[in-house]
Amino acid sequence: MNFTDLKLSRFIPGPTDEVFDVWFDPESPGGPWHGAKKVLMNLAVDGMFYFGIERAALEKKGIVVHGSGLLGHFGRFTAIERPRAATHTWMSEHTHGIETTVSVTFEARAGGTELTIVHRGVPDDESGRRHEAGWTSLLARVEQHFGGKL
Amino acid sequence: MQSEAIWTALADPTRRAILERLSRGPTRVTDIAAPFDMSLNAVSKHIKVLEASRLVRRTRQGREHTLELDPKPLREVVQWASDIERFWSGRLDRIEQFFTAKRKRK
Repeated sequence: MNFTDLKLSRFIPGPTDEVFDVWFDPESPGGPWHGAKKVLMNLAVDGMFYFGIERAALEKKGIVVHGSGLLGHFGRFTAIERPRAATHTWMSEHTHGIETTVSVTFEARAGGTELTIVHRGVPDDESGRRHEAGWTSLLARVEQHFGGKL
Repeated sequence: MQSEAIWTALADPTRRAILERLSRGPTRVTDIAAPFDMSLNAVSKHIKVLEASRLVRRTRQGREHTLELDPKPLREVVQWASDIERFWSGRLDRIEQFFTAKRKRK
């Protein structure tokens, strides 16, 4: 199996400490954990988290899921440096049960915060890729049609 | 940031069929609706979702409405590698929107 590292950054128009707190607060509607059917969170080094998202809700967004019920995500916090950074492990069926690592950094910028996620050791195979047949062929066709414009 | 809207648009087979049709060129709304075994109203709802995702643009000439595919938002989709990346991107959309709305309220 191949593995890859993902890096995503986004400018968030809010102060760094607030952005950090919202990101790790399951009660906040702006945070990534909000809206999960079941959330357990212990924001401390060696604290564990679990959040279960309803598979039906993910399917509606075009994410491929297997079976029914909750899709569980598990992890352990390995470093917390509020408001600058935190790292935790991450396991779900999308990592094929492999314990991957997520580093989240919050850097102060003029007028807000640069939020960067680095997710290391993500399985990079067909099942983790664009495996929803319906739109893969559509994309191929559209790419072909528009060629250089895409 | 439109990534959630794009994925919502692409998740439905009727909307994907509409996009496939539009990938061959601009098409009148009535011609888009014709092959589908559903009311014009139902097709219009799908078209509205596609317009919200910015994948489809509507132009009007008198009473005739024409739809055109705008491939630019697809660039984001094409670059995505995995469900996990989509997950994080959706979460970044959410926190960005949260703070943008908060700032507007002030």
